[in-house]
Amino acid sequence: MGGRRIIYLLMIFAVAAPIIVGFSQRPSRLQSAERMYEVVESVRIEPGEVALVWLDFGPNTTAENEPQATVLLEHLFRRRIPVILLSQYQQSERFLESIPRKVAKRLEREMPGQHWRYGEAWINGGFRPGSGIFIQSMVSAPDLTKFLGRDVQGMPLTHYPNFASLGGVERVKLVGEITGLVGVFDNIIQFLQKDGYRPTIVHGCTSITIPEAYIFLDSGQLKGLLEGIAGAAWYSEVIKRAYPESDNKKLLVTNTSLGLAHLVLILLIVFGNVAPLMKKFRRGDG
Amino acid sequence: MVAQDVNDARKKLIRVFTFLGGIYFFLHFLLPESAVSYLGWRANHEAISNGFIVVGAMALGLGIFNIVRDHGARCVFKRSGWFNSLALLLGLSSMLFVTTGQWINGQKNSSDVRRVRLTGEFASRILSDAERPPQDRAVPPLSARITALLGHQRAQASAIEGEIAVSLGPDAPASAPMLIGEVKSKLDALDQDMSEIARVPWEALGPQQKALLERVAQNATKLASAYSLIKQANHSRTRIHKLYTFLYDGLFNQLGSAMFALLGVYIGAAAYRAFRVRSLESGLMMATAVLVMLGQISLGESQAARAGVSLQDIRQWLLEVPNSAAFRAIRLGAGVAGLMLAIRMWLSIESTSFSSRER
Amino acid sequence: MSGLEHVTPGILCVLIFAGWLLYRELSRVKQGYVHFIRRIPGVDALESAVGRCAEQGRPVVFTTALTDVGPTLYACLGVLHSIARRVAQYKLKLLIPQYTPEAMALVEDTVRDAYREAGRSSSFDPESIKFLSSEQFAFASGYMGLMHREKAGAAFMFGAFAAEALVLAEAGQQVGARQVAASVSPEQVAFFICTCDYTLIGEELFGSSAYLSREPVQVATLAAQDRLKLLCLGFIVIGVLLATIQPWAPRVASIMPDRLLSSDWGAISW
Repeated sequence: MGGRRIIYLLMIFAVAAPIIVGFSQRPSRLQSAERMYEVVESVRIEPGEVALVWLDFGPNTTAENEPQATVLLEHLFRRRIPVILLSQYQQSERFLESIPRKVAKRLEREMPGQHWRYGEAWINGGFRPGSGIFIQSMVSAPDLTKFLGRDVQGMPLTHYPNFASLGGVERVKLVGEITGLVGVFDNIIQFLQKDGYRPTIVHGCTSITIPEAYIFLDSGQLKGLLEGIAGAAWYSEVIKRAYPESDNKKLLVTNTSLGLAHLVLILLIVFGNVAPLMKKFRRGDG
Repeated sequence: MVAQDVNDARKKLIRVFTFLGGIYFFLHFLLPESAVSYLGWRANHEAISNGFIVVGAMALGLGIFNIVRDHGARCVFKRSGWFNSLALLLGLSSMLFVTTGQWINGQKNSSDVRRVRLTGEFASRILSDAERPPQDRAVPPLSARITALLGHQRAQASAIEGEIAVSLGPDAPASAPMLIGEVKSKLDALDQDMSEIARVPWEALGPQQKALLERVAQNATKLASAYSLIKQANHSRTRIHKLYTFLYDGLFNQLGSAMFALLGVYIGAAAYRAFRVRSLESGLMMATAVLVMLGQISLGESQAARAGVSLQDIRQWLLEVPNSAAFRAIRLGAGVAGLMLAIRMWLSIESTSFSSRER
Repeated sequence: MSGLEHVTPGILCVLIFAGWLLYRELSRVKQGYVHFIRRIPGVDALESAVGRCAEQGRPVVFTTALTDVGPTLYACLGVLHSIARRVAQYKLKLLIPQYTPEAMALVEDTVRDAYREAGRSSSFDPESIKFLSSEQFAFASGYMGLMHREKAGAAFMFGAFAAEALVLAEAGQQVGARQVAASVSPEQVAFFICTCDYTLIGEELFGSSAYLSREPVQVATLAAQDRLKLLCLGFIVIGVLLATIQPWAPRVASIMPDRLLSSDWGAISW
C-alpha cells in the first residue's frame, strides 16, 4: 500500500510541476492534427452554409476536450465560418455557452476592431436528446432552420441572418465532433449522411479512444483527428504559424505536463520490470 | 387454465409490441427514398422520432423511484449505513429542488424575452398581412392592430425598466453599466419608432408606414437580444442560481473531474504492477506501448532524430496498421454479434435460460 | 463516396443472408445438432471465482456498467443468470450495482429466475440490485465504495465500459477480488488486461452466454454470427486480392466488395 502511494505522489508531481512552474515545450508533431488543420483551412463556405460542431463532453473529460473545442472554434472563427453548436450530452450545456464566448473574447482582444458576435459567428443549439434518432431526423429534415427551431435562449433561428435559411443537411460543409464518450461519435459516422451527401467530419477524442478513431481516419470516414491534448497542442502550434499573435501558452504547459507524466509512466514500467530481477539477483547472491 | 391463457395472451402482446417498436426504423432503412416520401414518412419522421425519444425519457423516473425506495427504507428502518442513505437522499432532493428552481427561472426569463420579441414579430405580421391579406382567416383593421402593438410595447417597456432597476442593485456585476446602456439605447430607439407610429395615420399602408413597421421589427429583435443578456446577468445574481452554481460547478463538476483524474494515478500503479515482460508477446506489447508514448511527446524527439529515428512516424505506423487491424476485427465481431442478437430481440426469439415464462 | 441512408441491394442481400443463417441454425439446433464451442478460459474462470468466494465467505459483485438495453445487455444477462444460479446454490451474497434504470427490471427478472432455478427463491433479495447513478463517475465512485465496504471476493464486469473501467477494475484489485471482465469497447480491453485476472475480448462476451448455458437458441445465434463473420472474412480476402491485382487488371479489380455493397438501386441495370 505504501508503494502505491509513492507512485500516486510521483504521478501527481509529474503532472503538477510544469503547471506550477509554467514550463512548456514544443509539442510533438502529429500528422492527424495537421491534416485536420488543412481540412478546416480548405473548407469553402457559401452564404447559407455552415459548420456543425458537436461538443459532447462533460466535466470528466474537460481537460482533453475543452482545449480541442477551443482550437477548433478558434480556427473556424478566424475563417469566419458560421458555426452551429449542438450536443447529444446534457452535461455539455455549460461548455456550449462558455467556450465560444471565451474564444470570441480572445480573438477580439487580439484583433481590436473586429467582432465575433453571438448570432453571427455562432449559435448555441443546446442539448438535443435522442442521439442517433435525433441525427436521423436531422438528416431527413428538408430545412434545418425549421428543424432546429430555436437556439438555447429561445430565439428562433430565423432571427439570425447567417442561419435563417439553411435548407437541408447538405448545407453543412463541415462536421466537428469533440467527445470523450463512447458511442456518441459512432452516431455521427453512422447516421449523419444521406444518399448523395457525406459530410467532411473531423473529430477530437480523448487519449483512450485514439486507437478506435484511427480506424475511421484510415478508411477516410474521418478527415482529421485531434488526439487528446497532444493533438490540440500541435493544432494550436499550426494555427500560431499562420496567426503569430495567437496565444497557446497555457495549452503547451498542459501538454508538457502530460509529456512528463508519460515519461514517469515509462520509468515505472522499466522499474517495475527491473526491480524484481534485481531482487532475484540479490537473492541468488545471498 | 385461465392464468395460462392470460399468460399466453400477455406473451403474444409483448411480442407484437416488440415487433412494432422495431418495424418503423427497419422499414425506413429498408425502403428507398421514393417509397418513404410516398408513404408520408419523410414528412412525419421527426414527429415519430420525437415519440420514441419521449418514451425513452420515461425511464428517468425508474432510477429515482429505486433510489428513494431502497435508501428511504434504509433510513426508516435504521439499517446499517442509514446515515449514508440519508446523505444521498438529502443530496438528491436538494439538487432536484435547485434544478427545478433554476428551470422555472429559466422558463420565466425566456418567456419575458419572448414577449419583448413578440413586438417585432407582431409588427412583421401586421406588415405581411397588410401587404398580402390572408384568405383563410379574418384580420382586424390595421388601426386596431397598431393600437394593440402600442399597448403591448408599453407593457414591455415597463417590464424592461423594472429589470434595469434590478440590475442597479448593490451587488451589480462590473458589466452591468454596459448591459444597461445597450438595453436603454435599444429601448430608446424602439420608443422613438413607437412615438412616430402613434403620430402617423393608419387607415392604409403607405411607404412611410411600411418603413416604420420594418424598423420596429428590427429594433425589437435587437432589444430582445440585449434584454436577454441583462436577464441572464440578473438571473446569475439570484440565490437559486448561486446555489445551483455551487452544487453543479462547485461540487458535481469538480468531483467528476477528480474521479477522472484518478485514472492517471491508477494507470501509474498499473504500469508498475502489471506491465511485466514475461514472454515474447508481452515484451512486444511493452515495446509498442513505450514507442507510442514516446511518439506522442516531444521530450526525447531531438535525440531520436539524431539517431535517424522518427518516433512520430513509428507511432503513426503502429496506430494505422497493427492497431487498426486489431480494432477493426474486434468491432466487426462485436457488430456482427450485435446484429444477430438484435434480430433475435426484434423477432422475440427468446432464450429460455433467462426467461422461465415459457415453461 | 455517397452517403448511406437507405439499404442498398448489396446490404439487403447481406441482411437476408443473416436472417436466413439464423433461421437455418435454429432449425438445425432444434433437430438436435450439437455445435462445438471452443473453450473460453475467462468463462471457465467464472465458476472457480464463485467457488473461491464460497470458501472465503465473501460476496460476489456483477456489473453491466454503462450497458443500455440492447443486444449487449442481453448477452450479459445470459452470463448473469449462470453466475446468479451458482451464487444461489452456494448461498452467497450477490451485489449488482446498476447504471441504467431501464435495465434494472430485466436484471431483476433474470436474477429472480436464476434463484428459482436453483430452488432458492426465498433467498432472492431485490435490494441486491442497486441503482447507483446514471452519471459515469458517480457510478464508479459508488462501485468503489461498494467493493471496499463489502470486501467482494469476485467481481464480474460485463458489458460496455468507458473511462471508468480502470477505476472499477482497480477497486477490485485493491480489495483482492478475483476479476473477470468482458467489454465490447475495445479501447478498455487494455485496461482490463492489466488489472483483471481474465479478460474476454469483443464477441467473446456474446459467446460466453452460449458457452455457459449451452441453451439451444443462444448456441444457434453464436453459430449464425460466426458464419456471418466468415462471409465478412471472405469479402476482406476478396477485396485484398482485387486491390493487389489492381495495377495489372484494373477492370477486374474495379469490382470491389465495398462498391458492390454500397451501389444503390440506380446502379443496377434492370
